[in-house]
Amino acid sequence: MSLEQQSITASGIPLSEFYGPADVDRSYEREVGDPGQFPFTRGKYAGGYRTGMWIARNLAGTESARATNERLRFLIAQGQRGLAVVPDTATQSGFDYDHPWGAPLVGLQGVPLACVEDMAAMCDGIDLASINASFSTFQTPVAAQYAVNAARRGYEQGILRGSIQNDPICARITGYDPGNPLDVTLRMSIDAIAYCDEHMPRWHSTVVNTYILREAGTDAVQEMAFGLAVAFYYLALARDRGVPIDASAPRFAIIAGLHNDFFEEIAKLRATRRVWAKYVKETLHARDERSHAVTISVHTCGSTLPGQQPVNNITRSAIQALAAVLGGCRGLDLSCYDEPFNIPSQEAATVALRTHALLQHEWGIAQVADPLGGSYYVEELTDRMEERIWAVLGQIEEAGGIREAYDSGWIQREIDLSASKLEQGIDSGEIPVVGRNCFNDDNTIDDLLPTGLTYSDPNAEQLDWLRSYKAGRDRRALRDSLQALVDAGREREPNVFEAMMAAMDAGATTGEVTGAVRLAYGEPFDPVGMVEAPVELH
Amino acid sequence: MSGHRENIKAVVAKIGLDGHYRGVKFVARTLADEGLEVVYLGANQTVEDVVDATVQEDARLVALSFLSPDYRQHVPELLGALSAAGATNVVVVVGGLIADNDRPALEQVGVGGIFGPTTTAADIGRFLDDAFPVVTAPGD
Repeated sequence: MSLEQQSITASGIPLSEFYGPADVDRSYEREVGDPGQFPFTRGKYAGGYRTGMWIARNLAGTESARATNERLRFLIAQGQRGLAVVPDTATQSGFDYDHPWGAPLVGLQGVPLACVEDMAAMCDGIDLASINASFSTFQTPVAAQYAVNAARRGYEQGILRGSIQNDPICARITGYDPGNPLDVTLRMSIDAIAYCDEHMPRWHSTVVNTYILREAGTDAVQEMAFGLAVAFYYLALARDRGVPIDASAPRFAIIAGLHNDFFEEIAKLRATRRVWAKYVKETLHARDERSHAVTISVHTCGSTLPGQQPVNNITRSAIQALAAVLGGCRGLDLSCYDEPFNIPSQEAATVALRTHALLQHEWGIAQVADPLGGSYYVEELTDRMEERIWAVLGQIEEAGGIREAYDSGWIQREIDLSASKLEQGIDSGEIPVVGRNCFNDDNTIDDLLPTGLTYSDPNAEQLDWLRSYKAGRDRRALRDSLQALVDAGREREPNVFEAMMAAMDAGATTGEVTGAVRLAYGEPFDPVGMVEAPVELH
Repeated sequence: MSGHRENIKAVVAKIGLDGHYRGVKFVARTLADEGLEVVYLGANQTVEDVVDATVQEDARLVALSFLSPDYRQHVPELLGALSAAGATNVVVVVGGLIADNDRPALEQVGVGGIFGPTTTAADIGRFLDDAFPVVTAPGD
């Protein structure tokens, strides 16, 4: 057991006993800059949270599109304008919820969204011009559903605001996209960026998800280096597809994890903005300031919350949220105290929302931008973090780039090594986890909060609805549009996102449009060979 | 107790859509540390994949991880398929997010152990000591 104070950060940066003026050897203009100024170390906006409070994300997604619609309307009535929607497991994995693997899970851990009609039911009565709809999913067809539904309702696409993650590499690394080779998903994602550039310029085309890299086991340096390498790769691919950097970069964002090492995590967020700014300006030659400043949202790491003495998880999430805020996050999503057991109960979700309220209104934390700027320690740690992120970016470059580093298995091996180091540290007690491997000799508070896990039954009614919806479609329109999508995928030039929208307008589902692009790339329609294409495609 | 269970093989996998693999990799490493020979299939396996591996490798332990309630469908299917394939001398354990009220049904179809989110490597070690006692060779 190691309960002495350590002289090293969680990712291995050695620490002095204290930092002072002698450690300040950097150009303020080049390396730090005022808030809202290059290289945005101190935050995206000069006014910090006075310019705009961080968005308290309150995830919604349950049972059916109808039930989720009720929840969203309730949130809107409460004044919420940013909607955060979680699709169910099948939808998140790129499968329809009537697929044999999706059916046992319909509507259990998110909202089932297979087709435009589902999206229409979820958005019924909601003014799409006044909301920002962010979808917690990697599946590009969900954005197509949203765009088609908006068009049917007569909205001009240029006014649509929101995002999907559209990040196939992180999805693949972490197991969120089980079926699709990267060639297929990269084509859909990059074409979505190109489509949004032309038609939906206010939509955030890409949110790189480093949070899930962290949850898979990376340390803070790997999390940001892998994530930034992925983001820079997408930007370069989109540029090759004809989207100028100054059109794509401002529409990119990062959702980062927030782990236990308080100061290292703050330094991580500051260093990430700096690396982004330098790379996008100096290597990708972006000229627009909006390209140089990346928006970072944070999701606190559920993996830091043990099942033992779960009441302590409220304290953990609050301290992690404080670090996120001091690091200048623009959106924030807290893992709840029952995270090790369940998707959040209503009570746990409310405690998380109240934590936001405490941070925003009780403690005076949000009044001045980047309050830790100029701290001898924090600036030094930010420099060290930046240095190490560049070093790993260099390793990826040497390995032949991020695509090669993924294809060769290098990234996955690095993640597994870090995960196993962390777990061994916890198992041996070298890394203290209160209630799990230390301070666990009294059970007074073990059951203070209800954390029991129960699941509802899969939504059979919804399943029946989708089956009959599929059976009732105009087969000719379906066949023509899906075949057009396959043909578009086979050529280099056509935009498959646009063809995907046309097919979805003709009734095609997420699984079917993905299947059509898979066929174009010589893959079977269904990755696990359990379902057939709804019409004959060649 | 590494070295005393090397003749026992364990198939470690996730069946179905859920891809959260960190827990199942932890289990695979822990079983290997405990001296078992681990056949790691990874995530997104079918019931048939797991049965085939169990039969081919003559595995005595099958360890499955679920972070979604589709275990309610896949686990009974797997146990049925294992017994149909004649693999009767196999202990099947599940871990991850298993609802309390689903436990009796899993035990009834023959699941030999259920491990929730507070499980440690030591807990797994204790389970193995019971299920596969270490045979001490003469002279050890």
